[in-house]
Amino acid sequence: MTADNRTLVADSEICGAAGAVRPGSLISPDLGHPCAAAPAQQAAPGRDTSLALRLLDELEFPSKRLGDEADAPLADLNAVLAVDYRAVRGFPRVELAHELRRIVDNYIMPYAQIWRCWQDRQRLELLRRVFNWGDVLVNAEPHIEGAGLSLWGFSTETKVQGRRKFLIFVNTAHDCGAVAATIGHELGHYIYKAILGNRADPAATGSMFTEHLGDEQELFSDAVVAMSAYSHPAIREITGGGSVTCDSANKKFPEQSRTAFATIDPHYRIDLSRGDLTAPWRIRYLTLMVHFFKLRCALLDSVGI
Amino acid sequence: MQLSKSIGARGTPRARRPQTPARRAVWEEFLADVSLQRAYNIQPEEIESLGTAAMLGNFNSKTDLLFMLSVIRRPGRR
Repeated sequence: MTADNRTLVADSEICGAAGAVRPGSLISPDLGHPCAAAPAQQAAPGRDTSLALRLLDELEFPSKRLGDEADAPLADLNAVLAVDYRAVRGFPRVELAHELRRIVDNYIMPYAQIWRCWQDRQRLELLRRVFNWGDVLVNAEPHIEGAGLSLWGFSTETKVQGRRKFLIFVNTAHDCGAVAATIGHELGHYIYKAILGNRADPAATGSMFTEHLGDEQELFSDAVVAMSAYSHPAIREITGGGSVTCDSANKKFPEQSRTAFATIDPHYRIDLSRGDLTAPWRIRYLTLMVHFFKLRCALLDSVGI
Repeated sequence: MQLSKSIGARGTPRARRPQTPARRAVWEEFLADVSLQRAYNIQPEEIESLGTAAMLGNFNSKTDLLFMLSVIRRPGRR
């Protein structure tokens, strides 16, 4: 756990206990931290992981001694690497993408510290000015029971004292960069709903980046992070301008990825070389960073933003 | 936040992708467990909040849904 996460845990005001569910015997005492045993996932026998393994080797993360538990994360990374983001079903419509850029440029980028505001009451006034933050509640705590780290965060609408509020939960057991990405993603849902309204679709959401590719709301929410993580000049510099093909056909991709991970907005940076990361979680975090980089490239290439 | 009126007027949310069978099974098991709902005094609006939650990641069991319920019940931080 990082120092910042410890600060969050210590802040009891963030997570009040009133009305809390007593989990009792339903909580299973397993799963958890990226530095401990990783959640068991279904292996993916027979799935192509060649692109993922090649990238791991090129980024100098040894891939030779990965255990079976890395199969599913490797398959996810491979899927993210293989797909052309410009052609996925969930890619935001052009007018929506331009609106996203306007919001990020005007309301998020000038306040880079926004991702930390929810930890600091003195900065809440800033959030109220920017995002009608009075309508948004944030709960943050480390969650290592049950699904554990597999549950990164969620957002939903709920009634508090008769008023509808938008509630964001963030699992702070994750690396700080992943926590920032989670809150950015959930804030993206808030923005999407503010623009287009909510579509009630019980439990039809969730999961990780490969599934986001087919869902406009999820990919829009990821785009809030991607746009915040890489400014327009920054992404142009990384990709060298012109047409961008962040896929396996681009031989510069590993080098571009390395540059991208080094120059990403520090709020979203994840140190993948940390010695205490398990192999599956190193791959999952790498997948997250590749996903945001490829999405940012696609927004530049397809929409020009 | 001032949003573009033109987007709001013209656009509509796209249909969401279907959930995975495993997640649907957990959700339906949770909905069908009346004794659990009674034990935790779960209200219809709380079911709605859980059912419309946008998740990053996964829930694997009723335990996770009860955890999410506990989060929804907290006052949160503004």
